[in-house]
This record gives sequence, C-alpha cells and structure tokens, in this order.
Amino acid sequence: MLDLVADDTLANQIKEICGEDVRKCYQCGKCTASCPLSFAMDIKPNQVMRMAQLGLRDVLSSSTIWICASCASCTARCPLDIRISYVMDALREIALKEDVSPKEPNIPLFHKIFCRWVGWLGKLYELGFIMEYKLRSRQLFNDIAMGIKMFLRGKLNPFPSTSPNSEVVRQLMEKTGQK
Amino acid sequence: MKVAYFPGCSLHSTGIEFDISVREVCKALEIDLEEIEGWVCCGATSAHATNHLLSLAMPAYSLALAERMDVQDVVAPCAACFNRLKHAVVLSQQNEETYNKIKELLPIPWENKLRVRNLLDIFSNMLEEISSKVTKPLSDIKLACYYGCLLLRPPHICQFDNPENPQTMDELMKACGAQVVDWAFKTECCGANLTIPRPDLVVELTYRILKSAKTAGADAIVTACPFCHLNLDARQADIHKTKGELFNIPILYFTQILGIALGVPPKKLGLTRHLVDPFLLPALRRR
Amino acid sequence: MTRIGVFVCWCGANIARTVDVELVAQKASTLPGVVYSTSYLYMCSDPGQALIKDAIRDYNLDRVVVASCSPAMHEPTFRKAVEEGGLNPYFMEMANIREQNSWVHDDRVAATEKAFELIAATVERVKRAQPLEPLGFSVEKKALVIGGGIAGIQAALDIAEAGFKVYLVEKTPSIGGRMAQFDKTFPTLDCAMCILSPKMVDCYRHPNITILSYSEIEEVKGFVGNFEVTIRKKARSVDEKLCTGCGLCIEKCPSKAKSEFDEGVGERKAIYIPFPQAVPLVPVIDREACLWFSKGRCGLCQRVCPTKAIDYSQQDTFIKERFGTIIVATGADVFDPVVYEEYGYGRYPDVITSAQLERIIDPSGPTKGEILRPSDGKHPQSVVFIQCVGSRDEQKGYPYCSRVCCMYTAKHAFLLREHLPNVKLYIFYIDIRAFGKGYEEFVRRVQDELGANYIRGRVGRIYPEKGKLIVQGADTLLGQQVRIEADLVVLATALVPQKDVEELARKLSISTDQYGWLMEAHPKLRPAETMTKGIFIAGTCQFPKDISDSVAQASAAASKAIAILQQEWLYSEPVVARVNKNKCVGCFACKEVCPYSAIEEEALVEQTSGLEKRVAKVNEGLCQGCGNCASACRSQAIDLLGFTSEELIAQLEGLAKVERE
Ligand SMILES: Cc1cc2nc3c(=O)[nH]c(=O)nc-3n(C[C@H](O)[C@H](O)[C@H](O)COP(=O)(O)OP(=O)(O)OC[C@H]3O[C@@H](n4cnc5c(N)ncnc54)[C@H](O)[C@@H]3O)c2cc1C
Ligand code: SF4
Ligand code: SF4
Repeated sequence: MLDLVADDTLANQIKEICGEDVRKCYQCGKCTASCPLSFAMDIKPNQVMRMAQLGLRDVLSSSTIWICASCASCTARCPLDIRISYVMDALREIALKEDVSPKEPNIPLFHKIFCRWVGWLGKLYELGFIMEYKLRSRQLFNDIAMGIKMFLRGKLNPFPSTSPNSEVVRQLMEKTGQK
Repeated sequence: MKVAYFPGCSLHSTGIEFDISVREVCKALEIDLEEIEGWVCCGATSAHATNHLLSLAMPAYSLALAERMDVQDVVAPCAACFNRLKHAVVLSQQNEETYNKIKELLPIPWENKLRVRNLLDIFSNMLEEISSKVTKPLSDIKLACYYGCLLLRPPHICQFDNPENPQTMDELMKACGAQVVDWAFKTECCGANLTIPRPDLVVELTYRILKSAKTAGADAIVTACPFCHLNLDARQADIHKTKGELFNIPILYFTQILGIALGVPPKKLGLTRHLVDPFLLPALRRR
Repeated sequence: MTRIGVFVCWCGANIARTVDVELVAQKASTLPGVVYSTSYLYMCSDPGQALIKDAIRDYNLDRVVVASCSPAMHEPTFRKAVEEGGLNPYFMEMANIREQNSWVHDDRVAATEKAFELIAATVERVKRAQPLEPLGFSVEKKALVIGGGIAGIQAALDIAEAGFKVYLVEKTPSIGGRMAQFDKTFPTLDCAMCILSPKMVDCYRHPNITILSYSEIEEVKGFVGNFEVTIRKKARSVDEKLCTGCGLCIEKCPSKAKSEFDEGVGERKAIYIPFPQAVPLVPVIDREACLWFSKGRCGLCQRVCPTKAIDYSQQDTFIKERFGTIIVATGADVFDPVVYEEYGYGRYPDVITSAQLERIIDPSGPTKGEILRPSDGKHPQSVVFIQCVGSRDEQKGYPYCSRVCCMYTAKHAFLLREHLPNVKLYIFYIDIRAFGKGYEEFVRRVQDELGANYIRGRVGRIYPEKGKLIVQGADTLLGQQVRIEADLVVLATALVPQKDVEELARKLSISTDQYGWLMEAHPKLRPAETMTKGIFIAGTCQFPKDISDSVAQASAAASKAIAILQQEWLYSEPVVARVNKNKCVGCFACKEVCPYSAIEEEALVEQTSGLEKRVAKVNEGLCQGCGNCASACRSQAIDLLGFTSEELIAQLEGLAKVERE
C-alpha cells in the first residue's frame, strides 16, 4: 500500500522549468490514447501526470520519461491544453539534475554525448558522435550493416565540420549548467 | 526572394540529399538561399530533453546571426531545426521573461524579429508559379505524403498547416502532377532519434507507417525531415528481419520530387543516396 | 434645520468584529444635523426596523442614515421601514460599512475611523435628498414567447391557461424544437412525440395562443409592460390560410436538399414539412433548393396544389405588436465536431454525432428506425461512443460540462441494444454525471443489464482500416492504450449557444455570459429572470439542461410573466435621469451613451428668443438610472434623481470635512 502524503514540490519544479501546471490535468487519458509509444512505457503519460500531481518522485525513474520521443501528439490533443511533452522534458531535466538512475540508461547517455559533441564543434559530427555512443553503450555491432551502407552512399560524412562559433555554444552550455 | 538558410547538421551528413535537392529546387524557383554564416546546431531533441533554457538559446543564437543579414525570413528545411527555431521565436514572443533570459545568455543582440519558415510553407504559397514551371509532371506515381511530428506539433509553436490532417505537401505533390493517397499515418511519429538507443521501438513505429502507406497503395513515401527519412528508409531491412515483411518502398524528400517535376536532372537531386533504391519505381526509371 | 437619525448595524460580527460600532454611533451623534444615533445587532431584522420607525416618531426625525451593508442588499428594506415610519422613502441613505469596510480591512482602529467618515459623508448627502415618488405605467396584457421548443411551448401554454394572450414566435417552419427529433427520452424512455405532440396541438388550438412560425424578431423597443416588437414573418411561399396540409406538392417536387431536421442524415424536398407532426402543418419552400427560384422553371407544386395555396410572389412581412412581457426560450445548438480532426468527423461517414443518431433511431426518421450506418447501409456490429466532445475541453471546445450527454449516450446505448441484440457497445467517458431522479439507476441498468462497456478514458484518434474504423483510446483504469475496431462511432457533442443568440440578446437588451448563454439575474435566486425587467428566460438558451429542467424553468418564467400581466399598473424606482431643458444645448451626447435608448429628442420654443430648439428628453420607462448621460452631458443639464450632482458633491464635501487625527 502506498502511504500517500501529497507533496507539490515536484509540480512546482516542473512549473518552474517549463511553465506547465500538472495540477490542471483531470486524467481523461487522451495523452495516453494518442501516444505512439504508450505500448513501450512502464508508466503511461496520464499516469505520469497523476504521479507528478501527487509528487510521487518514482516517476523520475520511469522508463517513460526517456522513451517519450517528444512527438507532441499528446500536447496537440490534451483538452486542457497542457503541454505534456514539455512536462516530459522537465522531468528528464530534473532526473538528470538529481542523478536519478535512469531505467533506460542508453537514452540519456545518447543525449549527453550528443550535447558534448555539439559543445566541441558547434555542430554535430554525426559519425564521431555515433561511434562514441556505440562504444560507450556497448552496442558496437548493432546497426553496422546499415552504417556501412550509409557510408557508401555518402550519407555519413567522414570529416567533422566545425562552426566558427563553437566557443559560443560551449559558453551557452556552461551558463545553463549543462552537465 | 532572398532568405537566410539554416541547413542544420543533418543536411550536411545523413540528410545530404535533402540539402542538395533543396538547393537545386530553390535555384529553379529563383529563391536565393544565403546560408547563415557561423550557424550552430539547433540542439535538436537532446538539448530540449535535458535543458530547457539551452534548447532555446542555441537556436536563438543562430537567429541572432541571421538578423545581421538583409532578410526577413529564415528557412530551415529540416523539420527538427524548424521546430527548435520556432520554439525559440514563439516562446520568446509569448513570454517576456523567457525572452529576457535568452537575451542575457547570448553574446550578441537578438531582437527576435525574423520569421522562421519551412520550405513547404514557402512552396505552398507559390503553388501557381510552381505549376507553371512544372515541365516534367509525374503523373504515373502514387505518393504517400508523410509529415511526421516536428513540422506540425506542437501546434501552438509550429503554427503550420492542420496538425491532424495536413495538406500542404499533398497539394505540392499534386502540383508536380503526382497522385497522392489518403492514408492514416501521415502525422504519426517515426521514433526520431530513438533509432540509435532503441532501434527496436523505431522498427515498431516505422513498420506501422510503412504498412499503412503500402495498404493505401503508395508507390513511395515523401518526407520533409531527415530523421523521418532515415528511419523509414534505413529501417526497412530490420523490419524485414524482425517482422518478415519486405516493403522496399522508396522514401524520397519532397524536394526531390519537386526537382524532377521542375526538370532538374535526377542525378543532381541525390537520388542515388537512398538505401531503398528509388529507381525501382518505373515512373522514375524512365527519366 | 434637518433632524437626522443614524443607525449603525453590527451585522452580527460581520461589522462589529472590525469596527467599534458603539464608538461610531457615539461619534455620529456629534455630526451637525444628527439628533439621534444608535447601533444594533441586526438593523435589517424586525426589531431593527422597529427601532428606526420608533425613532422617527420619538425624535421627530426627517432624514435617516443606515450604516450597514451594500444598498444592493437592503436598500428596499430600509426604504420601506422609513416609509412605514411616515417619511418619504428617499429620505433614507445607506453608508456601506461592510463590503466597503469591515470585510476588506483588518485594522480595527482605521476601520472604525473609516466607518465614521463614510457616515459623515452620507449625512451630508441625505440633507440634500429630495422626496421622490415611484413612476407608474400601464401594462399591455399580452406576452411574447420567442422560441417554440418544449420550454417555449410550456411557457406559452401556462400563460394562455392563466387567461392572457400569447404570441409564440418560432424561427423554423414548425414548433417542437429539439425534442421533436427524439424517439425516446431518458431516463423513463417515454416516447418523445407521444408527450410532445399533444402539447404542440394544444398550442395550435388554444384561443389565446397565436403561433408565428418561420418568423424572427426584428426589433424590440419599449420596456416592461409596454414592449413594442416588430416580428419578421419570412416568406413561406405557401398561403397558410389556404393550405390544407395535403402534401401533394411535396410528393411532386423534383428537387432535394439535406434535411436540417434529420441533421443532414436524410433528405427532404425543396418544398417540405420538416416532420409529419409539424405544427403548423403547412409546407415551406426552400428558395435555394427550389428550381422555380433558382432556375426560373418547374412550378410543379403550384400546378398540383388543389387549393391554389402556393404563392411564389410572397415577401417577408412585418408584424408590429405590443407586449407586457417577453420570455426567451430559443434553446441551444449542438457543437460541430469538425474541429476534432483526430476523430475524422466529416471525413469518415461512419463517424456521426449523437443528434444524427437520434434521427437514425427514430422510426419516422430517414432509415425508418433501422440502425444502418451511413457508409454502406449495414447494421453495425460494434459501436463506440465518445463522450465530452466539445465539452470539458479548453483547447477545441468549451470548458463547461453539457449536462445531458452522459444521459443521452446511455439512452442511445439502451436503444441500440434494443434494436441490435448482439451489437458490441463501448462508451468512452471521463466521469459519468447522472445527477437526476432515476438517472444513476438508468446508467447502471445500461451497464449491467444491457452490457454496454463503459471505458474510462478518452479517444486519441480514429482512422479507417479495411472497412472498419480503428478507435485508438485509453482505458485509464487498466492503465493501457486500447484499440477497438468499430463499425460506427458516435460523438456525444456539447450543447452550445445558438449562433444568432448574441444578436437577439442585443435587440432585447439582455446579456450573455462569456460563451453566449443568456444571463440569469441571479444563478441561485432568480434563475428565470434577466437583468432587464419584464424579460425572462427558459430552457437551454440559459445553459444546457434536460427536458424536465427546461419545463420547470419555463413554468417558473411563465409564472413571473403572469405576475406582471395581472397588474393594472407597474411602478418603478424613480431613480431616473431628468433633463434641465433650459440648460440643454441639444448636442445629444447623452443619446450616444445611453445603453437603453431612453433619450428622445423634443422640440422646444425658447421663451426669451422665441427660437425653436431641440432638447433631450428622458423616457422614464426605459431609463434604468445608470447615469451615463449625466456624466456625458457637457452643459450639466442632466441629473439622476436620487444621485443629483448636489447630493454627490455634498457627500464628497462631507468626507473632506471630517477632522482626522
Ligand atoms: C442528442 C440529444 C439528445 C437529448 N436527449 C434528451 C432526452 O432523452 N431527455 C431529456 O430530458 N433531454 C434530452 N436532451 C436535451 C433536450 O434536447 C433539451 O433539454 C430540450 O430540447 C430543451 O428545450 P428548449 O425548448 O429549451 O430548446 P430547443 O428544444 O432547442 O428549442 C428551441 C426552439 O427555439 C427556436 N429558436 C432558436 N432561435 C430562435 C430565434 N432567434 N427566434 C425564434 N425561435 C428561435 C428553435 O428553432 C427551437 O425550435 C437531448 C439533447 C440532445 C442534443
Ligand atoms: S490529455 Fe491532458 S488532461 Fe487528459 S490525462 Fe493527459 S494531460 Fe491530463
Ligand atoms: S510527446 Fe512523448 S508522451 Fe507525448 S505522445 Fe509523444 S512520445 Fe508520447
């Protein structure tokens, strides 16, 4: 049984980050109904909203917040105009900040490596980034056939291109506390 | 018409044929694309998934660079870049505080005075002109127009077309002489960048999309986003492996179809770079 | 010298908690002109009022100040007490020391001081008060009911039965309203027509009722007791007196159009009677669909009509009538769900609205009561209902709950089960609101006995696949996304205000709320009245409600209307504007700002110069005493009785004069 002590800290954190008020949600479930990835989520989008309303921080270790593809199907249809996809963003941000161990570790790893490469070059060097990700997630042999085919068709640029303003990106990341 | 061009990272790599065809088509339509000098990555999903403020500041910086040019519009063909640039613009318009926070972060001034547009938006406003310039209409091909998520959603940001039943790409393809099919998955998500960490999920999502297009009788799917293109094109092999169904449906950029119709030689449109060979289609082979 | 009495109310603790009422009363007695002052627990109570009356007698008072609540609460109470004490009721003024003082302040010392200041100001004002007499008007003993749905019908019958004449004006060709479209009504499953059509016929036959169908309100002037209304009788192209309703014309007419009455599911002819039990049973020609009017040929109906009733040359006519009172019962529209693109209404023929299903169920409807889906005319095996389409939706619809959709959906499930014993029924709901007598029991029956599957959740989207509609929804109780293959999807759409209601409201000078529902004078205590005297509202024009509530409100409105019609004379507050003709320069700035069109122009011969000039004149029947004109008048020629400039300036001076520590 859940010992329920309602706590609005989480709701307030979310509001602070993205401006969305999870307390508005009346649990109609249209987000869950619309989400193309509902099937793969351990907690459905409307349940994420419910947990956020009550302040149940377990939501931060759900697979859902990482599996969400940010497609905004939920957001486009929520009858109360809650931008659920922004709530998902905010939950991810909180989970990272609080070092909650993620149920889908590879996805935050992907984002982290992505941002690091962009921080170095100002642009994404897709080949380098993917290689690093594959190494670190130990998925080295996954997708290799596809990668080779793409390379042969000139879709994976072997050389990084850099933005002259990569320093600016680095600074932006620093100032916004990007880990 | 001169516009600032924001190609984005993908168009220099996995989406190279999008870039090639965009430039060709714009040349043919006398749209002068001037690449924003020193642009930086829009941050894509990874920035907004982890850091709200950063995800707005990065595109805002490129927009600030574009303000130094003599233009009113910034064009981002990539749906993801379009979406992130639009986020910076609209959220700053709607919230003074957000705008101020971003302005403080940027090393150069940003007035937020440019209009961010995608190419479909621009083309759908010049359909008549396009029709008159179509020299090689593609009458014998049935296309499924796939819009995906980021051109349309969230609607309060994209402010483009009908988010549930969009028509701009269909209209454009019809102007190119092609037939379009009415199908049910034109705005369903392909899984975007989950393709790397969770390819299994993307196989699931793209399978439904491809299946729906095929059932509707499409010969090919047309996209406006390098992510969508990659997932639909490159995952067909995995779908074959896991689901036992071989689609072999060519996935094209709408600019490639438009280019063909405008008479640009197919080899200048990057058609050989797709994994599923578009020349499988008799309609394209003949050209 | 005036002799003023000041009465300070405690209002239990409401005022006394923050204001030292006894101290205030004591200080008030020192004000110039005040000869008596006291405080009491509840001034509005019987003993409180007696206190005023006794003091008037004992201290020979000629003016009274009551320091208590807002005049909106108790001004009539104290006016009456003063009158019973033998003074002109307008020799009483109130100082509001509750809403404007004790309720909004915490600091007792400051609040006490403020109470005293408010009283001091009012004392100065009351000294300048003039005696006023209520204004009297005669009453036109005839009522106008606008809208011939069940609410309008009920109200018209009630008034007619009480012995007064009624005009019932209906926009469409027949009275009956929405109820006429139903086969059965929840929760009793009464046959709708069996209970409605006798009432329609009663209206038609009643010697006191005149039905003006296919008619609309053009203009409304005047005021309670004396409304002057112009009604536009639209050209029907059929002479109502000659027509016998035989229907030969309809049979022969070659042109078809979508039937409004059948919600677009069925067709009707260009000349048509909306439904067989229509009242009056006289056809009308839809000139857009008619070949004679659109192409200048045909004329079949005219040729076959045995009584020569068809008249293509008919024009709209205007009827001018006077009425003592008006009841508005124009009903509601249903929400157009095309904005729910994700549900594909308008794109997929088998996605229909509940109103359309009503017509499909009705034995006299387009499918003769057979449940056939629009795409292929087959019986559906699996039907999905979606509740709250357009209701409780801030993004695409309206935030309110439409109150009847849960119930009519349960009714639909019941009726479908009756017609199709093996059909699978799924109802997506967010909450079930079955608040009425027998309602919850009805829904329970539909759930357990009739086996309708209630699914708690909303539908995300609908798309066609292999001749079926795939309904992609959520079951929040399972915590799962669900997918249902349906043959027919029914959208339980919201009730929304009529499209033309704002225009009608403007003509009547009544208000609408933020959505367009007609505003009641008080949501709890005056639900059938509007803020404009003599105009009442009934049925769904005020807010969604079921038939029982519509009828109840209609009878309430009728009884209010009858109460007016029974009077020989009506009296109104003398707080009206008055023009000083000598000062008026005839600029008519006042006319521009008067929301009640109460300013008229009058010719006047100036005594000194002998020249004629035009001056403003106030129609006291129309004037509501808002004071807009008085503040707009540049030559200070207008005063509001009871609120004259002299009184108000004295009040301000009174405030300024108070000595402050
Ligand atoms: C699908 C559906 C099913 C329902 N089923 C039930 C049920 O089973 N049981 C139940 O109790 N309730 C039911 N209701 C609710 C019921 O319809 C209303 O309670 C009832 O019709 C209200 O009556 P009314 O007279 O206020 O309005 P209406 O029935 O809407 O009548 C208003 C009349 O005014 C006329 N009018 C409109 N504007 C003007 C104008 N400007 N000038 C002149 N005339 C005008 C209209 O033409 C109409 O004839 C249902 C509603 C819907 C939508
Ligand atoms: S769609 Fe909106 S209101 Fe409905 S459950 Fe999801 S977040 Fe809550
Ligand atoms: S944004 Fe995330 S939660 Fe919302 S529908 Fe898309 S994947 Fe699901």
